[in-house]
Parts: sequence; structure tokens; C-alpha cells
Amino acid sequence: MTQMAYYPGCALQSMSWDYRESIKQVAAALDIQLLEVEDWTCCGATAAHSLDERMSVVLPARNIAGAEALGLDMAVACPMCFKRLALSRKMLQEKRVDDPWHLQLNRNIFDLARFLASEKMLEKIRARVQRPLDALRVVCYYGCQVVRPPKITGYTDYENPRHLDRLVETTGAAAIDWSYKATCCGASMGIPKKEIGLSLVGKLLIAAHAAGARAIVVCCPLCQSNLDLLQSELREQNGWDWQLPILYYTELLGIAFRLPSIQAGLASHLVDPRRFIETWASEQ
Amino acid sequence: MNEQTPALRLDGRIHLWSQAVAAETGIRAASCYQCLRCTNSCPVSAFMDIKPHQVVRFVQLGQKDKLLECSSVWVCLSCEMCSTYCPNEIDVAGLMNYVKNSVVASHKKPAEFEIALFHEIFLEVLNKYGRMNDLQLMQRFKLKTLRHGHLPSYSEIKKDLELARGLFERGRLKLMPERSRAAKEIRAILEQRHGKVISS
Repeated sequence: MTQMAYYPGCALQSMSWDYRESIKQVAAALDIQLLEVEDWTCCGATAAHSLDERMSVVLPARNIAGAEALGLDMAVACPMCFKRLALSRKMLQEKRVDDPWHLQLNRNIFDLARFLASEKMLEKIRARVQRPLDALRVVCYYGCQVVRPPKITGYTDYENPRHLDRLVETTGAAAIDWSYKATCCGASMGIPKKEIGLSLVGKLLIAAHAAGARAIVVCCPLCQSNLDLLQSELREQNGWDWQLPILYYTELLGIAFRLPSIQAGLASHLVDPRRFIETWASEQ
Repeated sequence: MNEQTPALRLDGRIHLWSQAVAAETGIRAASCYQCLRCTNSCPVSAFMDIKPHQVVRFVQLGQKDKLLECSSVWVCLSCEMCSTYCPNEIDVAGLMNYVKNSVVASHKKPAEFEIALFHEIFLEVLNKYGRMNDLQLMQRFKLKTLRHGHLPSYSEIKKDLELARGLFERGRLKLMPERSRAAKEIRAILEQRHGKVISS
């Protein structure tokens, strides 16, 4: 059994409960115990650093303290939270901001998707696949927060990340190469400046569709909501006769593992993936 | 030569701000040679009044007032394409953020008021619950913008309601916001903020 401290983040507690549930089920299937950081609080997201950078270091640090109390490495589900936590850790290590919690900063902070795509975990996943998804072609969309800036995330593959692709390929599905893996979807503008959100999401959907994808696989709750929620308006605006379900990698794994409990979450998407799964399953 | 070009007013004073910014943030705008890689990589440069490479230039030239009044810094998504691809390792997004912080700290009205207000309301919800709640965030934002004179059109209201209904039916709008037991601690942290988004 692998044990980790776990930071779900606020999105998973409300809008993106489907991601939360699919993580729970997949983690259980893979024998990973995720221990939620006690009384965790919001990382501050875009708002905190936009208005006062110091807040954006101190707010996440509270949660690092919580993980240290558990004495474990921390897995973070949401890329936005992951980046804020990783940045906070670095700023404190460099003593750029006072640390009220006297943190040791000796534990790792993992992006959950990347952790699951480690060789050891991929082995486990491969052994667990019961329904190979051979007929499925998708693109993996990483978004902006989980790879950049490399100085903070520590990743060298920021131009062409591959970890979601590897997870997808483990299920037998094909991850198509495309150029928009890490282009921002503009989720933070979805409410205050919708025209920007629509423009960026429109470009991504067109590119994914042109690449031949039947679905987009994501790791970020903000990307998922943004690409899912704005799709009907874009369809109407542009007269598209197609739509693309936006699936979390954990949902895809859940389907491949034949976890029946994954269905409830799938039903909460605005672009319902269930119908589409039936279609390509019958093509197999 | 163009009289308007601020670069020509070399009165010694203009370099000080860029040095102050470097001292405070560690970001050296002086290294920029205007290759435009930041602007070319930016997904929202088309929506900006001053492009990312111009923001860096204005920092070099000490044009602080122009930057405090520009909308670009609020349009910036902090997606860090610019900072990642700068050949001189200038954290362009960091400069944008520094300007945003400065607008708030100096009690100026942000050029993109609604975007700034959205951030402010995010922290307001955080202050109350210690965690974010989508429904609270949306409701409060819509009400505040209404109070600031933004009257939504019929089609806008219709779209919002349709989306809200779709989300509600799928259990994606949580009516009761979750409160972290540590909300009090968050309040104490947020009390130390410099400035607040103001409307005039």
C-alpha cells in the first residue's frame, strides 16, 4: 500500500465532484491511500497573487504545514493548486517570504497525474485494465498550470509533456500528438470576461477536432469545466455538428478498470461522455 | 526623432523605477532586447492594449503611470508562456503581476475593473469560508457588477440561467458552501493584505 498526504482543492469539493470521486475510486483500485490534509484551505488561486503576491505564498503554506504534520509526501489533484503549493514552497525555501509555520520543506509535492504516470504506477495500472479501449482516439490536454514555469514545477518536458499520454496509452487508447497540449484555456476569464474564454476554448476545441480526437483527456478541473461548459454556446455560435466530451484521466482509467461507480460522475458532464462511449464501443 | 518617444528623455530618473522593480522582485527588465517572443507566445495578446514586450519596455523606461493604467496586466492569464520562453529569462508574467499588485496597493481603480473585482470577490468568499465555492463566487460577482451599473442583456440572462440549470441538474452547483475549520486562520492571513480593489 502506498500512503500519501492528499490535497484535493476547492474545485473538487463543489463543481468538479466527478474528478474527486474518480480519483477516490482509481486510488482504491491501485491500492493507494490518500490521506486528506486536515482542515485544508484554499490555495488562493489566481486571485491571491493578482492582488497581493505575499498572500499567494502564505495561503498555500498553511497546507504544506498540514502535510508535514502527516509526515508524508503530498499529492495534489488540481494543477492550479499544485503550482501554487510548489511556488509557495520554493519562495519559502529561498526565504523570500517569512514563514510563520517554521516548515521543514523536506517533503515532496507531486502533481497526482504525474505521480500515477511513474513507471511503478503504470505497471500497476496496466495489470488492472479489464476493458482495453483500443478503438478510442483522444488528445491529452495539460493546460498551463501543471508544467510551467519549469523553474517552479521542476519539469524539463514543459514543451511537450507526455505523462497523460502515457496514462492514456496504458488503457490501450491512442493519444494523438497535437500542438496545444499546454496552451492556456483562459478559465480564469470564464466569468469576468467571457469573450476571452470563448475565443481560447474555441481554438482548442477546433484543434482537437481537426487532430481527429473523439474526446479530450484533461487533468485540471478548471480546464474541464471551461471546455465542457462553454461548448454548447460555441457549437451554436459556429454551427458545429460535433462535440467533444472532456474526460479526466481518472475517469478514463475508471472506464478501463470497469469501475461501475464511475458512471455517476460521467453523467454530470454537460457534454455527456456515456453516449459517446457506447458509440465507439460498438465500433470495436 | 520622435518627440513622443519616452526613451529620449534620459534624465536619470527613468532608470530608477526599473532598478527598484528589480530590487523588489528580482526581475531584471533591463535584459530585454525586444525580440517579441513573449508577445508571440501570449494567447491573449490580441486582447491587450499594451503588448507583453511593451510592458517590459515601459518598465525599462520608467513609465510607471502608463502601466498602472493599462488593461493588459489584468487580461494576462498568468499562464507563463512569456516567462518560460524569454531568452533572457525575464519573468514577464511576474512583471505583469507586480503591476497589478501596485495598482491595488496604491488604491487606484483597475483598468479592467470587472476582472479585478472577480479576484476581490474570490478573496471575499475565501475570507468567509476558507475555501472556494463556485456558486457563491458567481452569485456575488453578478450582484456586485449589477450594483456597479452593469445591466445584463436578455440573452445574457437567459444563457446564464440555462447554464445554471444544467449545472444544478447535474449536481455541480453546491448550494451549501463548505467551510474549512481553519477559516479563522485564513481571515488572519487576509487581514495582512495591502490595499483592496476599489471602484472609483
